[in-house]
Amino acid sequence: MQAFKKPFFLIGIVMLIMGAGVLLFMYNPSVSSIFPPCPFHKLTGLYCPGCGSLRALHQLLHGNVLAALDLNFMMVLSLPFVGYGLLAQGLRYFFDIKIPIVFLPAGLIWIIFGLIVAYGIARNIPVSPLTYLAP
Amino acid sequence: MYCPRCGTKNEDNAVQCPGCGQQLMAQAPPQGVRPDIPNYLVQSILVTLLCCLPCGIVAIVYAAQVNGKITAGDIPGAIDSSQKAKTWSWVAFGLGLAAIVIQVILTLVGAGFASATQQ
Repeated sequence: MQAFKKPFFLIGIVMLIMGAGVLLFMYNPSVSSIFPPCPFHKLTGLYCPGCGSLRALHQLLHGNVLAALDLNFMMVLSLPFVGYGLLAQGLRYFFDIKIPIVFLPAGLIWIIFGLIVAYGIARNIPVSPLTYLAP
Repeated sequence: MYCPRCGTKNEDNAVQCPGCGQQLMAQAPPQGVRPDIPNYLVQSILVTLLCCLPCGIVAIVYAAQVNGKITAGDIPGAIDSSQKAKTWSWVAFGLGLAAIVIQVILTLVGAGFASATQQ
């Protein structure tokens, strides 16, 4: 394997991710004030599709998958896709290692787009089954 | 293939030279070879879910356009949409970060003001 490119950038990113992981594991964003509240929610009072994602990550790091799904299931569901995508891009960028990058047909991306928008709208509607979508 | 403008070695299915930005592939590549045009979908979803929703959503729309145009064989169009997806991902990231920084500063100033008036 050839020596990797841009070692300081790589070390910086790895430390950033590990640091964020440790902070998220140690402090629960729903009780701790070290994580700033979402500016969008503070300004509008609405839940965006990402609302609860930090709390969900905290629960995931503690193995509470159900609690994480309850807080933001969009985040939990997209995690394998996003994680693999970042891994593939990182390996390509730093090590020239090529694992296949997932090519989604445009139609599927439009469906994902629709799901995220619908999720963002539905979790703000205060009617019984939809209230479970709110964080 | 080597870039005709700057000589950087590129993938055989590269569409644009990462060294100088020279476009390498004018039309659709041979059958079975998909051109390597990033659509930034992963980044778009990430910035959308980490809260700067309008710009992240725009980036997802451009990501869909990139793959649609690749499938249709419209390589220059796909490169154009790819650039826009990248730009909007960064705008979303920058605005999200700026909003959080501003809010932290306001909170700190507010706390300082509150403790100053109490004394």
